[in-house]
Amino acid sequence: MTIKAKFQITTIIVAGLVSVVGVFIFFTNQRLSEAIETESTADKIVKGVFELNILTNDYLLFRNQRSSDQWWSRYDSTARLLIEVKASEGSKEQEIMDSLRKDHKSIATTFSQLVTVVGREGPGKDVAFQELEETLVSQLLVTSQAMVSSASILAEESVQEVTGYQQQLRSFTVTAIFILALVMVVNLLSTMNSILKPIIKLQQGTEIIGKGNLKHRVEIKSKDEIGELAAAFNQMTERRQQTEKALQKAHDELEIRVAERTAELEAANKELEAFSYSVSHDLRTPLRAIDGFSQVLLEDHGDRLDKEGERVLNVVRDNTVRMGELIDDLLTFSRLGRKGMEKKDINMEKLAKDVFEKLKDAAPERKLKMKINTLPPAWGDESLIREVLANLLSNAIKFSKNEKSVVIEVGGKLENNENIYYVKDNGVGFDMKYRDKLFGVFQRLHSQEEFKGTGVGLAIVQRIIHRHGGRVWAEGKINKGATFYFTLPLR
Amino acid sequence: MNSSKVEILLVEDNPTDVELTLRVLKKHNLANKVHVVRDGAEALDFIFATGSYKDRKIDQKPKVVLLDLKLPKVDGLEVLRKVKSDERTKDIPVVVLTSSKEEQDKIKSYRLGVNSYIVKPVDFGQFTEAVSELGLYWVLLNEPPY
Repeated sequence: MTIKAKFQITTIIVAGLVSVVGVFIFFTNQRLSEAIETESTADKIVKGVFELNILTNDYLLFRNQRSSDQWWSRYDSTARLLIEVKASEGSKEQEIMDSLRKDHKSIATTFSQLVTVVGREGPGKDVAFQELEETLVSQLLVTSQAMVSSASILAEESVQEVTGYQQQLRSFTVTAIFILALVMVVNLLSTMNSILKPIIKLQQGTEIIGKGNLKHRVEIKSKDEIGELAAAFNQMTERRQQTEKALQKAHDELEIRVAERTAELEAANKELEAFSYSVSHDLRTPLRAIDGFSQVLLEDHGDRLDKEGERVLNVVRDNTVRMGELIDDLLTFSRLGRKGMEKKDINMEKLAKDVFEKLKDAAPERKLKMKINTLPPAWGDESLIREVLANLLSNAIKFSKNEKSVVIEVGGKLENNENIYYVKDNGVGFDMKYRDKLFGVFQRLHSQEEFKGTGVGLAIVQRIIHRHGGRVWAEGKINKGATFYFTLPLR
Repeated sequence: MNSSKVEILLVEDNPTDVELTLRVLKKHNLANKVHVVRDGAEALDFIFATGSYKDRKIDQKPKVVLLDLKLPKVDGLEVLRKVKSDERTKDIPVVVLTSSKEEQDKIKSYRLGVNSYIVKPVDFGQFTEAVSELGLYWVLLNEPPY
């Protein structure tokens, strides 16, 4: 049964009960007022009978027409009183009323006889009349006495009736209120039970599901609104569980795919490692042979070579050395992608000074100076960042070799949540239209005669910075120096 | 060559490297004390006096073994492991002389107990210098415990 229906039924029961009580009170009240009226009428009757007695005495005293008229007038009003009282058939009241009416008629008869007797009486007192008169008077007295007593009984009865009705009304009202209260309480309790308990269950269920147990179901089987709510709730949970399952499945599949890809990548990486190992080992050996046997040729058969032959052989040797450098740089570059990073706080000022001193020591013939501006500390792999600074600073030194006074400047600042560093020189600079080529592997903007190099240094710089999540770029102008920038994200 | 007088065992499969190495050693009059083997298996046979070297005595130890890492049949690291894990041969000085600059090879070699690790320079001048220095050092200066 729905909660709504329960409330409707309760309302109907209460309304019915209230109506019954109302009807009962209405009828009881009616009978009560009837009883009160009867009592007052009975009192009036008693009063009327007494007055009739007095008027009888008056008549006996004055024996005139006026007294007789007064008596009859009084008699009529008493008669009207007797008609007023309505008693139910067969009741005690009815009996009393019947006897009252009979007595009433009888006193009228008796009084008429008395009037006749008095009218016949002459001035002298006739003994026979006297006696008849006395008999009639005493008869009147007796009858009226009987009427008074009957009326008194009627009054008494009415009073009792009134008390009875009042009692009845009281107990009925109390009972009705009690029953009403009982109905309300029972209904309220049952409704509370059928609402509160499942609501608590629902609330607990919500908490359990909220904590992630999607298998939980709220067990409310009642066929009311709460039951419907619970069913809807369970359905919702079911759908969520299904979604979760689908998601989990997708996630698992993705995981498998990632594992597959990772395995593929690992295999590719291994292959690459094997490749670079071979490059490192096997490409070097023939180079050494070319260089070595060129030397042997010079040493053992030099007397049979002319100057040009010697020069050509030296060109061969120079190129083998350069090939060796290219292999080394390429290997360094490929290793950078595989090397694990150990990030920590780096004192960039100290690192820059350190790198610069080493470069300076390697070129004692050059008068090198470096100006260090404020350098914010960085977060990264120190050995890799050292590589970056070494490449940028050695480039700066290399490309300013034609300048009389070399001024290298390094600096940096914190901007938009990243550190920006720069290395600036006053060297040969570059044409900005080639700036995209600067960071490519083996990309060079100068000939080998002008500036030696393999063209890997800036590619290494870019690779390291990209692995750190930063950016690199350069600004320059031909013969006006160059500035290389790189950024490193904060921790 | 009388293998009993061997002071340097050169384990190298590349004939040009062998020739260049021998040429350098010859300049220091060390070439006649060198024995060359061409793969790891032969190196082990020589050191442990087995196979074609079973007539050798195992206690006739060379003063130094110059070992390449990339070798046919048995690779250099395996040769090194066998030599250094055998009580009879673990005191023979082994110098790895290789083209490999790989970090992993260096680390593995030192873990196995190599006495020295030399990367062959591409430049012949530097190569000559390296080979003659290590030849002189291990053959003339160094005193082995046997």
